[in-house]
Amino acid sequence: MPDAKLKSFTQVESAITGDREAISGLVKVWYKRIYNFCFRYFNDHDLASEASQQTFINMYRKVHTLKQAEHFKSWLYRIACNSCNEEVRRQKRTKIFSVFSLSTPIDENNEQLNKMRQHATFDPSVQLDRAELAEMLFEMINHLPPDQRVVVIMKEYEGFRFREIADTLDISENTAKSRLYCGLKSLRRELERRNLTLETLLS
Amino acid sequence: MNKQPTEEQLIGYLYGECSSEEARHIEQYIKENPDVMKEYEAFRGIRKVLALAEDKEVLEPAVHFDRKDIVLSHHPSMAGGYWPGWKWLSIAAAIALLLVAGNLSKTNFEIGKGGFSLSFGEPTNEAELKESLKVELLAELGKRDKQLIGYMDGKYDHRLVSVEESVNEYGEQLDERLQAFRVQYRQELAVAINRKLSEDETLRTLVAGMQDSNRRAMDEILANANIEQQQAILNALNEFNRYYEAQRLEDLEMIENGLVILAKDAEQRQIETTQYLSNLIVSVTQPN
Repeated sequence: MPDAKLKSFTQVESAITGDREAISGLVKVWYKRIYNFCFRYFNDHDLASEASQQTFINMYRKVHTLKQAEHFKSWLYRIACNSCNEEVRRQKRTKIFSVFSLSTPIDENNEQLNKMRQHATFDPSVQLDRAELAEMLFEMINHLPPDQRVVVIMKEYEGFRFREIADTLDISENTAKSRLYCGLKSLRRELERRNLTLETLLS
Repeated sequence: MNKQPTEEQLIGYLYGECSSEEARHIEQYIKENPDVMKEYEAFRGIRKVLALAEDKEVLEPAVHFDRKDIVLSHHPSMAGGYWPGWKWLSIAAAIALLLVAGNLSKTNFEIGKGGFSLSFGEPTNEAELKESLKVELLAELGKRDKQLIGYMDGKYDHRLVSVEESVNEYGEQLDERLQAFRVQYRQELAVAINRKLSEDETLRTLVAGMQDSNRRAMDEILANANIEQQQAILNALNEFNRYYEAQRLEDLEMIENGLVILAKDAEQRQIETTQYLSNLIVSVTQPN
């Protein structure tokens, strides 16, 4: 086992026994990954921060139940997925009572927003900088249905194998592949709708 | 591969997660089918585009532990640009909106020495308003005073008398009911005592009767026992007497028999002695 992996494994083993220093170390190691996972899920800093924080709080509370240290990654991402879903539910509840909502709308059925997004087109004469392009991609990913969105993020940005995605989401490998297929297809359609060609984007 | 690869197989091939044999077949199929090739290339392009969206830089929070839980405190300079002032800005916006709404509805909001006042419509002259309010207030107070005095003089006295009568009547009813209850209680107590005494007398008679019959029974038992005992003693004495008589007769017979035997023995010895003496005399007198 490589040194880094062994160190990580030992850290998880210690965390399982309740070693706070090890838990603190795990937060440091995994925070950026989990934050970015949540950010791609919500495309919103506040919600991503909230969901990542909840993920690590739940990790601390439940790490003693983890049976095998080598399954830590899948286990942590499962908690992250649950935290994101919980945050969506919480936002929907809050939205009912809140008049002045400053966060990005996350309602998948928001027709007005969808219409605006569908009509958003790209002028090829305008050169997008890297940050703008990333922002647009985040928005497009955020526009995917949640089950496809999670698989796209896990596969493209978190480097999961299909077996790991299946274990994390408690679905079959074929379901994971099928969701990814649909997700990529939707993204392709969205790019076409915005008059964006690969050449333009990759130039 | 003659069959078109499924969505799952194509995705597996796109990400290099299929067997080498499967990969060979899919590759062959893609080459032979431009539509599938187009889709595959589009997916590859999408992957390249997605790779452009790099990770956001973020500082990990400081980790603390309280007694029960973990506490993650975010660094204020965290990337992403969340501005804490949004919350205050939203409150300020809400207040501004209220003020605009108030202005449109001609709401008058005034903070005075003793507090604040809220009114709607066109503001009037303050002195006139105060004067008219004073007059209205005094008139209202006078009206209320009169009503109160009338009420105190008439209705209140009448009601008081009525209440007193009701109380007295109720008190009398209570006395009567109490008296009736006492009488009834005494009667029931007397009946209960009599019943108790009667039960005691019956018990005493029963015990006395039982004692008498017991005594008689004991006397009878003792008397019967005496007769039987005397009879037994008499029988025993008679038996003993008979036994004694029989024993005496046996003894006499035995003595008699002994004497007869003794007499016979003496007679035999006399004959033998006589015979012996005769022989002796013969022998002495006639030696061979």
